[in-house]
Amino acid sequence: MAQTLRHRSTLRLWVLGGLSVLGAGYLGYKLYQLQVTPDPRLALAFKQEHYQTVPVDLPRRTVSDRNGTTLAIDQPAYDVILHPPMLERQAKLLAEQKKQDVGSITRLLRNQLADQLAMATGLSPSTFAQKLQSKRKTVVLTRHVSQSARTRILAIRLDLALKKKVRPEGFEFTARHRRIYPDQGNSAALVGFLTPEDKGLFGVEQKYESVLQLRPGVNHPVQITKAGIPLPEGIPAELMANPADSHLALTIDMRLQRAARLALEKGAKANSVTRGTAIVLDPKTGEILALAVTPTFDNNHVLHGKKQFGNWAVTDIYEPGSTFKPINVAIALTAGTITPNTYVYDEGQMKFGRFTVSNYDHQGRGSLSVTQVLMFSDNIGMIKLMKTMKPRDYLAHLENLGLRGKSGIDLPGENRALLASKFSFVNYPAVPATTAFGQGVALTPIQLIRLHGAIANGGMLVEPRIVRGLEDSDGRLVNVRDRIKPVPHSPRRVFSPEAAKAVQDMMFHVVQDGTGKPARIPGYAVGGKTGTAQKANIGGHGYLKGKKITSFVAYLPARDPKYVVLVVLDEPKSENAFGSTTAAPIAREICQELIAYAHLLPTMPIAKKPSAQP
Amino acid sequence: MQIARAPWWQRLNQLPRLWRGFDGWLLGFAMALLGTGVLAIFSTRPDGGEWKSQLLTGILGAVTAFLLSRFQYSSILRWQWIIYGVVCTMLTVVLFTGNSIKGSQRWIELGFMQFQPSEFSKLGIIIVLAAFIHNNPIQSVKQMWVVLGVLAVPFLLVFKQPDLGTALVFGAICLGMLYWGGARLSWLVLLVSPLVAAILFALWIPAWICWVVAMGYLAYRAFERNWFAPLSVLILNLISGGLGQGLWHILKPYQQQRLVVFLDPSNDPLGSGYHIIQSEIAIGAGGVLGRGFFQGTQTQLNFIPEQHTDFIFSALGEEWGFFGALILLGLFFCLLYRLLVIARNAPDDFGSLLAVGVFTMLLFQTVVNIGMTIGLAPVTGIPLPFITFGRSFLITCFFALGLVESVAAHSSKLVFPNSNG
Repeated sequence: MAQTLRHRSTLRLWVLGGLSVLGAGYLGYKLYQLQVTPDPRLALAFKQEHYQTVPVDLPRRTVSDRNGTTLAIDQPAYDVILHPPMLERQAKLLAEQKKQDVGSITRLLRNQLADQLAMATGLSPSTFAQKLQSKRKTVVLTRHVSQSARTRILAIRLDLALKKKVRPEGFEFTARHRRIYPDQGNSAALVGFLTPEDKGLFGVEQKYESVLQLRPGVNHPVQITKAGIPLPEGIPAELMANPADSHLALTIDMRLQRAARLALEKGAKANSVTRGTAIVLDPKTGEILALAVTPTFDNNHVLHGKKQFGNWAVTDIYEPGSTFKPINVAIALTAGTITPNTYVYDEGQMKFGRFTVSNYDHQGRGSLSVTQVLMFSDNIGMIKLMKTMKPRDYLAHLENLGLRGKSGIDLPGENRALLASKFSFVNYPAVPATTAFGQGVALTPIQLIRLHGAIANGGMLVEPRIVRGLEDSDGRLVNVRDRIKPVPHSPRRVFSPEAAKAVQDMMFHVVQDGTGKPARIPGYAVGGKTGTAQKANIGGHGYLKGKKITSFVAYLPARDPKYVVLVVLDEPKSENAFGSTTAAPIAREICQELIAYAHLLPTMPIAKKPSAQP
Repeated sequence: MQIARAPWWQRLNQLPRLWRGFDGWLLGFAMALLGTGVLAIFSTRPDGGEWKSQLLTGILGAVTAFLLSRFQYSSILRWQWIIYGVVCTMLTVVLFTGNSIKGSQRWIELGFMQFQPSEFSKLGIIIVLAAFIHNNPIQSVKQMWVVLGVLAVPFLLVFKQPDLGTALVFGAICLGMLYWGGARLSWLVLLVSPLVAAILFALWIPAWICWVVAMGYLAYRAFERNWFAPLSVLILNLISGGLGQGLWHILKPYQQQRLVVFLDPSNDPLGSGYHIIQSEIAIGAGGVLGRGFFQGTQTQLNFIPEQHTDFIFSALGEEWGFFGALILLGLFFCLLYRLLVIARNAPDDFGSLLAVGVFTMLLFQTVVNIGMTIGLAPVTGIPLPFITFGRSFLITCFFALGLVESVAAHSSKLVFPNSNG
């Protein structure tokens, strides 16, 4: 038997052997096709699977004040996307399970889901109900929900009277970032906001766009794993940089900013001004410690209603009036055409062709010292003082102060200061004359406070700035590729130290005994100067009748000041609106806050007879 | 006594006796395949303990195979019905108590370890069929039906699990052994013809018509004196078109899905088609020389889930390339060749049938598994012998080789023509 099987098997042996040859051959041939003659489709599929273009979605840098308090921060936000076919498929399966018809299950599912989504997001159920019925393959249910709302949506379980509650299918979340401004209107005019396309608009958000938002130029193909995790090799270092490593620190101090804003708003309301600004400057460094603007806006909700978003303290020029007088005095003192002991005679009015210039009270005060000219804010006296200079030299000094240019502050939209043309300045005596008391020259509040800063710091013109630089989490400054300018332009001498000192002294007297009395703080030496200017029709001709801009500039302390405060109120409508009555009290309040803030010690005996004060 | 007293080095010359008749090539190829498999498993799961476990199981299996080869294989002839009973019992037990993995019950918890009875049952079936055919050589169609009847019980039990892969392996083993045992090729072709007809009916009706006609003619030629057989073949083939629909519904949804996806992987690229597509991409990426050990990105980045099991060949294909795949195919071919040589030289029908049964099992599983990874066969969960991680099947394979080695050792013609056997 054994013999017969084996003998008969010769053919069968060949058949079985042939089968294995055939199998091996066929597999070998197929492998040859697959591996040796590569299929471009497979190669493409391989590439598509292993390389992914990573969309660059780095969070925007945080913006903070000088102490690290957050002013703008990115938080994760999610777009909630639904794939309705998946939900329908689930409904179908549930219907089979419950042996009910698909329609009613679907309706039940949608109603419950809409209610639960509304609860999770705080929106109305009707907004969802409509979208849930969409016939499209994907619907965006809502955008920009918070992390916690996402968690609540993920936790949704529908009660369909089954054994277990049902988790709805078909949800997808795309992670984004959402800019939050915890400080809202307090610093909105400085910080700015983001457009719906996430580009910075106004404030440092606009000015420092490239620093705040890292946008590595190209989207890089990156090798990824099955789980979609990118492999580190081949990723540009820029992509790996963590913007959270450092934040953009502003020069402002939240506390001062808040004090300045509250004081300004209070004063603005009392005098029903159209707009106002209060600025605190560190004259030595050029750092803006506070810059309040009114009216302001909430940069978290810029899309609702039209508002003024710009920062008029930076963008709009105005004729400063008397607050410009100390600058002129410093110019003349530096030029040496007057000394602090120079006396001029005020006859009450002066004629320049068909113009007649008079003091605000139309009175002549006779012989006046320079200090007295400032104390009484005497226009005729100022004209006489500045007449000691040749108009050409006077203009050269003004131009040296940058009064045809910008202050260079790092906020967007700054306008150039405005001076009369050289021809008219030299040829029409009225032009330098009006400039002497601060009309006929226009500049922004920031540019004005910068000039006062130069007097306050002993004669150096410093570039004002709002950004300290990039700071790490410990508050150390880090520089990133020169894209940011932590150090301003080097200061430039514009006034002699003696002139600056003399003017500081005069301004102390202005507050102590002159028009600036409302800014007096018992025990403290405060310097200051009022300003009540006619509102020029900028871009047109002449002045707007009955409209004024009142202002007050304060130095604290009066000698070797640490702080310069400027308050400007546009169109105060209160009775008897002067710089001394409207702006000075605001400046005084800010100075009081500064005293507490910097722990300044009183340097003067407190007046024994308060009743002596007018 | 003298031998016992002699120092061990003098007894070394007696070692060859221990190896007498042992087919070193057969076990050698198997060990080479095992090594390749362990390397591939290591590459896909470097952190897991799978490769160590596979290696230890393999070594244990090889030792077992060697020990088995020292026993007289024909002694298990009388155990055939007991083995049959054990196989059926195991498959029944797994049907009721087995742990469910992905929709089918295949595992039995045995205290310290799990094992898959369906893998062991493959060897059981080979022994049972070999013994049965040895006792009842196939000389007529009727005898073939009896063999099929013997197979039917375990087949249905496996099918019910459901384990389509093992059922197909049973079928393949049975066909191979029937053929070797004397069945005519035409009978076997006619046997599977209704199945082919059902598939052709679903694919392309003209091909189905041609097939039915061809089968009718074949049946007419095969059973000249019997008109009933060709007629029934014709009718069966004709109705199997409609029957195909019925058979389709017997399959579990996931099995249907696998077949659909096999025909068009892009049908479900993220679901069942995913494995096939990823596997093809991986093997295609291997190119001629491969990406190198541990360099295959598809493999190393886990694009193929559970790659160390049924899709292990895709890792080999990617990392070792066409060259490595050819060597692997060559190893399998040599192994199969040795099995045929042993079948040819076996001292009796039982031994010969054992060798052919093992041959068929390994051939079928190799071709279907590799075919599956390159999109030529549906995903059915058939492991690649000696390569795929799976201790039950690895042990089964080595047991099978051990039996075949025993056949080789006791064959009169192979190595020691003068020995007494």
